[in-house]
Amino acid sequence: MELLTSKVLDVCTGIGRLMLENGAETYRVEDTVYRVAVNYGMQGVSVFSVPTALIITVQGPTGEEYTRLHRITEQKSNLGVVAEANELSRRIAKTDLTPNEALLELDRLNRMESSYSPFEEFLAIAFICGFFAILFQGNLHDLVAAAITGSIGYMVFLYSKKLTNIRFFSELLGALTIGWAALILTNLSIGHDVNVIIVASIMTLVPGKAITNGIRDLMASHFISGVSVLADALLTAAAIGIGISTVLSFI
Amino acid sequence: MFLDFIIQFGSSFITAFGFSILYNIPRKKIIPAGITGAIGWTVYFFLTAYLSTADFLATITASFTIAFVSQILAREFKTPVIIFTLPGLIPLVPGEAAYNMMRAFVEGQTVLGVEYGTVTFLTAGALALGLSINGAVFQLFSSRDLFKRGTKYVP
Repeated sequence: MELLTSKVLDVCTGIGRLMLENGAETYRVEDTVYRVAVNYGMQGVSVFSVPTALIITVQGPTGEEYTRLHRITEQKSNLGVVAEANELSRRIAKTDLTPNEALLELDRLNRMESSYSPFEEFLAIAFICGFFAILFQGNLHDLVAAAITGSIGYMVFLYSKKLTNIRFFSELLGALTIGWAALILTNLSIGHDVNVIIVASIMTLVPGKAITNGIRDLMASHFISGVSVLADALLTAAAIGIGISTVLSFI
Repeated sequence: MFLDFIIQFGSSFITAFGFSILYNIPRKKIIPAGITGAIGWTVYFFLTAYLSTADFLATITASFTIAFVSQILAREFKTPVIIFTLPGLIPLVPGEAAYNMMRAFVEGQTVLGVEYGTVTFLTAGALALGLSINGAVFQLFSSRDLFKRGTKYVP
């Protein structure tokens, strides 16, 4: 394979991988990768992506076709990186950034750490769960209890996700913890309404983003990604539902 | 009534703000992202609680508002729109209904489950529809040479 075409494909898959891993929607990924390839003068570009893979085919200057397939295994939500990748593609379009420079830049983005400390994230989770209790018509007791149960549940979820690679299991564990903690706190009369506390505490686990993104993918006629994202969302919802109803069947 | 609005606005601001920390949005942009979410939720709250609009319409209006504010902010801060829409939609997103649906199915209350399932997909559809309508409107008004740009449309 020619050197230039190979480098361009490196840049394309690099950007696409970065965006998919960090939670961008598939149509956005396809659009960005397509623009990058066209900006480097590739002919006959076509890009296909689902949440777990990225395929790109281009025609080199002399007419042969090259295809690259990249498998995506990690999934997280880091929109900061998505924004940076978008910025990079814009710079490729505007200035004459060579493929080598773009690869260096991608390398830097790959090593980019989260810009918040674990303590800040912990505080954020406690505040999210607490104030969701207010949005669900709870009172101040519910706010305190939801903040406690929500942060404990999320910590259990994060910790068990590091130990196993089955997300269903860690979500189930998180939901079980939330259920028990909510029951205990209401019995100690720190919390007031057990249902409000549970619903508020699971908000950080619940797949709301996945459901909305799935429907948006479907609307943009990306049927395979839309359906698979929705299936993922249903699985998460099932894990949480099973966990909570197991706990509530004890009372 | 005024106090109600303050409470709802503040709480939804904090939830959207918190989610923008979880989603790792750059530090300079988390307060605008929080405000986007708060505006969206307040619109939804006003429509459902005071004008008793149907849920579906209220959700479309709220998500349209969120997308509109996000488009403006994205131009101001020169970042992708998703940075503001994703945390902004969080208070409206049907996560609670999805959980209730699965819980009802697990507990054997199939009819209740179907009911919650309908709510889940209607709400998600309304959110997606609001975003898409806004995207289309912005594309119509922000391009001078509408017909030269090709028909490729990304919501």
